[in-house]
Amino acid sequence: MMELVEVTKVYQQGRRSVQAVQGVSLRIDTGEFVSIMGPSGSGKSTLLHLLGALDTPTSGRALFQGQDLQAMTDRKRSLLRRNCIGFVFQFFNLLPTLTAVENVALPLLLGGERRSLATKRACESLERVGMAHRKDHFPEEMSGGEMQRVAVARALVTNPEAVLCDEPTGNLDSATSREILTLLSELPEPGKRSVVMVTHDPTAAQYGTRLVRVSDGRLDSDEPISSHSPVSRERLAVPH
Amino acid sequence: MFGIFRSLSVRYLCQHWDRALLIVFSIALGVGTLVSTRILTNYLDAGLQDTIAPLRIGDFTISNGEIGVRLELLRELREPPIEGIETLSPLLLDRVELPWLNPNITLHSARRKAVLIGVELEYSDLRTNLQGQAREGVRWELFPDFWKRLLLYPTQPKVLIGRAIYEDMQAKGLATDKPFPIRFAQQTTEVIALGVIDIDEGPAATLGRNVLGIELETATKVVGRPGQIDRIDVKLAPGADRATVIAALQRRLGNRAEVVTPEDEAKANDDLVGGLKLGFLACSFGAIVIGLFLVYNALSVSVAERRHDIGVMRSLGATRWQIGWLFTAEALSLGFAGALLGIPLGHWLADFALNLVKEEIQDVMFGDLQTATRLQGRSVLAALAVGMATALFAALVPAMQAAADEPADAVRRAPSSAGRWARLLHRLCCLVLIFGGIALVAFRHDLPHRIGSYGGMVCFLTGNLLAMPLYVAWMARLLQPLARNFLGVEARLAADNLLRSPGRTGVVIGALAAGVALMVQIAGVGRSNQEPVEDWLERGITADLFVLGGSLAGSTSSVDPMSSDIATQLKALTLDGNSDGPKAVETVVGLRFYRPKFRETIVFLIALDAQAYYEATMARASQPLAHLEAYTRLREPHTVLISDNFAYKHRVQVGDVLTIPGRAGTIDLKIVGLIQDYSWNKGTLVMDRKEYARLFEDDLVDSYHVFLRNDSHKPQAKAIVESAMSRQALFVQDREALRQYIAGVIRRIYQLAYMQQVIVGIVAALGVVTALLISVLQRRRELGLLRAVGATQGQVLKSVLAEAMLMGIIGTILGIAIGLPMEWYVLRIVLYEESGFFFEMLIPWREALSISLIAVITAALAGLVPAIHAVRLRIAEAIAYE
Repeated sequence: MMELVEVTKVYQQGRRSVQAVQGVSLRIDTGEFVSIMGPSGSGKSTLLHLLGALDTPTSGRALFQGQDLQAMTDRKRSLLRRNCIGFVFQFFNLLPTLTAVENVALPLLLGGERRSLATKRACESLERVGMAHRKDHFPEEMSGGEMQRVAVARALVTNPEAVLCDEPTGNLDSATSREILTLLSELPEPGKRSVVMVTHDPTAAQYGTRLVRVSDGRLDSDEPISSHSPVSRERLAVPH
Repeated sequence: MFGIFRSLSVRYLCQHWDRALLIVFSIALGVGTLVSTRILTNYLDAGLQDTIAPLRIGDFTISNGEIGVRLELLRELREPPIEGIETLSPLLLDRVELPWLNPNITLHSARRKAVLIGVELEYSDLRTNLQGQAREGVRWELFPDFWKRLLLYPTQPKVLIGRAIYEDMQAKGLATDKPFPIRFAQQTTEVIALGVIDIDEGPAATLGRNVLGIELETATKVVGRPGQIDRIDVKLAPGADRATVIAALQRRLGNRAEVVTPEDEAKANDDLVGGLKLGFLACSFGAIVIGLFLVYNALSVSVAERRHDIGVMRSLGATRWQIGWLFTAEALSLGFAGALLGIPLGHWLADFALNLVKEEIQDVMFGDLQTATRLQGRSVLAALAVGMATALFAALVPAMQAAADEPADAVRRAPSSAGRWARLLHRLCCLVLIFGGIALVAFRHDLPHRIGSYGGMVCFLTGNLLAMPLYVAWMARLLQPLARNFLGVEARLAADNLLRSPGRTGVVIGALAAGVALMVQIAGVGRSNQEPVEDWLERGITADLFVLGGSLAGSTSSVDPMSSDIATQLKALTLDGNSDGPKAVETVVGLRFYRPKFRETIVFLIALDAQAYYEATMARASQPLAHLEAYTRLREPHTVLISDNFAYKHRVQVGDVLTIPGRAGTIDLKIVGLIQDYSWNKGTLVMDRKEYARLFEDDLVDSYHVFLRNDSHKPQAKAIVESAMSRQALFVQDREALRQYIAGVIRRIYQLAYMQQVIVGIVAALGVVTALLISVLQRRRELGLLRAVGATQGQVLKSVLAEAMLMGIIGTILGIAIGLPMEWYVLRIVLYEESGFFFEMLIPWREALSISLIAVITAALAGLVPAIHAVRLRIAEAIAYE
């Protein structure tokens, strides 16, 4: 459902051109939890941005459910992000002036949903991540883990076909990281939703079902993660 | 340090030239307002000097104000001489017409006039030298054949003509060696020119060489008041004790004239226009303060934007002082550029303002006040200093913030911990200014004149401007539930953002509110006094035509007086031209104006044909003014009516006796009635013209109110009067022209006032741009996130514009909330205490609505640039961590 075909991305930094992604092809289907790993500057976040319609490739094609993202207008890409894609960032990126439920309801409100309905769906989403009891709290009143759960709830509120996570545990302690990763690993559903996670933490990457390694803007490897890996075993053993 | 400045600051400013330009414009507007105010007050001072004591020579003068003194007084002062006086210089000054230079005497603009200066001329000196340098910058040159002219024209008065007149005569091919006529109050005198004078410097230089120098005693005859001069200027001998000489002079003068020192003149000037000057100063101070806050805002952006760079520099070993210096130097250079731009801008603004009132001013002045509109070197330096000081002051807090930031915080982009003490200081300053202002107003009667009423208002308003961030936070909190429940997500985010950063937006909203408040106040004051003044004019001035010696602009200035015989001629006019035919005119009322000093204040005296005025007005006005019958009491000798505001200002009442200067000494007048009159802000006296002519030895008339026969022949009668007066080189205006003229004067005065408000508005609009640019910068990640979760470009645009509009709405609400009490304060405290005029407060609903719309639209338009900036954000960059 998400596909990059011979994608290249070149950034202009002053007078210098930086090739962040070079001729990458990648396909991600529903039900998959793809971990993208690589060192800093390897182009993994750029890949995520290209997949999530946050950016467009310099050459090649980025497809979402068969639609060429580059051929879309900015408005269409905005609507696509709003309705079909959920994002989770390293620094949570919650709006400080909104409560948890309001932050979660934001994509719905942007889509013109009625306030009462948006709030109801936001509450359900918070319930799903175990944050219903904190729905009226502001971000500054929450811990990092709680904020990231709210961010996950926001990513899920529109029931998207893809959840894209950019270093979602990069700012959390290990215990909280495990909780968030477990939560993310429950999201993929065959035929319904996939999850893509960028990380440079090998342990976090093991929560996925497929591992893509990136360096210097190219794919180094793309292989499934065995369900017998220690992390996977641990993950499967965690009671929900 | 200069190297760092060049590589960091200069490069940054070049990269962000648009923001640098905003700062430069903000400072330029503030400095421009200050410069224009300085020029306007210089002009006002020069104009008043020209009116009260033109061409003052020496250390002080002897006079009776406008009415003048008798020439014989000079002889008495000279014999025996008073010790300590070096010279006594008598002077007569009047404006005369030069009809032979007037090809078309019916057009006011074509009338060639000159200033007649009557001074003591020693012809024996002139005869021994053909040219020479006289005193006070006056050079003269006799014609080579001057002796021939003396012989050929022994009876004609001899004059020295100014260079401009001489050149004019030559250009028109007119002979300079033949007698030529000069005219004053319909009295024509043939004079012969003996030579040419140039006045390039000194007190007479403003006359622009457009003068006629004439021997004093002859001059008094030419202007029809033999033996009466305007004043005597006194020059002290070196080493003489000023106070002793003044005391000796006053003893010798008795009550026949008064010694007037420059300090007395300054006091009288200040009494007349001090309030206006303070108002100008307060407005320019306001523009500077608003500009200062906006520069502070813009520099805060610069600091916020470069916080990471600052952290890096600090990590590399830059000291706090170096960081602080860098931002200060940046501000100073921008301040300098702003001041440089502000000086010509100020000149342009002053020229624009003066053009609005030039006609009125020039018509009543002897001299050309062009030089007063040029800024002196010292003032230019002061303007540069103010511009740089504004920038420096505005840079202090951002520079200190930048220097105080911990390098680690700055590099990590963690929230800054600086600024808590600043918040406390801010609240304290607001409280001190607001309560200090209230205290000044409350105790104004115990403080020096105007300190309480004006100083209190300035303190109170500055305190409120400073407190704007707090008000904005409260208002945004009030508006937030509305935005949450009734508006879209974009408006709601905008309201949240306002609430989150009241400090950033508060100053700009304050600037908007200040602009709106000033406009509402001006509109309100205008409406509150326009209606009663128009009603008074409508009911009090009912004549059909007005005959004037000059234009309407100078009609109350007494510079173009007419002979009292004109009344007889007007009354004799008939419809058919036969002396016993039907009369064209029913009634003629002559008016003479005089501005005597009463208790150190210049007041206004109107001498009119009281009985004729009473009868004609009663017959014409459908609703005559109250107390009109008081005019009938002026038949009694030594009586006067006073205006309501005169009674209030000078604490006098019916039955009291007033003493004012006359030509031969003081004159006592008994108050016999109170009337409504808006002619003069220091109070008006009205007396019968015949009595005035008797007591003040002045039979001239400044304007005639003509009541035409009130029947179907009125248009014919009007044409007859116009034709007859045109032959006398007099001007006739009808009621409609008078009404339009007065409306025009009011409009121009308000244009002048609005001009300053427009500047405040422009500065505020620039502020909205900077404040929203900061907002976009600060919300960069937030806006990026909004885009990431699906907000369209249109929604982001709407959110930023909604913030701008909210700023406009809050600014407008606060502006109206401040403007209406200000209107009340100006009407009931400032204007009432300044002039004694009591006006009911009218709320300018229509104007307030227009001003509100303009403010909100301006704010929204100003938000466009930052909104477009926000839309162009690259999402991936905006949400990047580093």
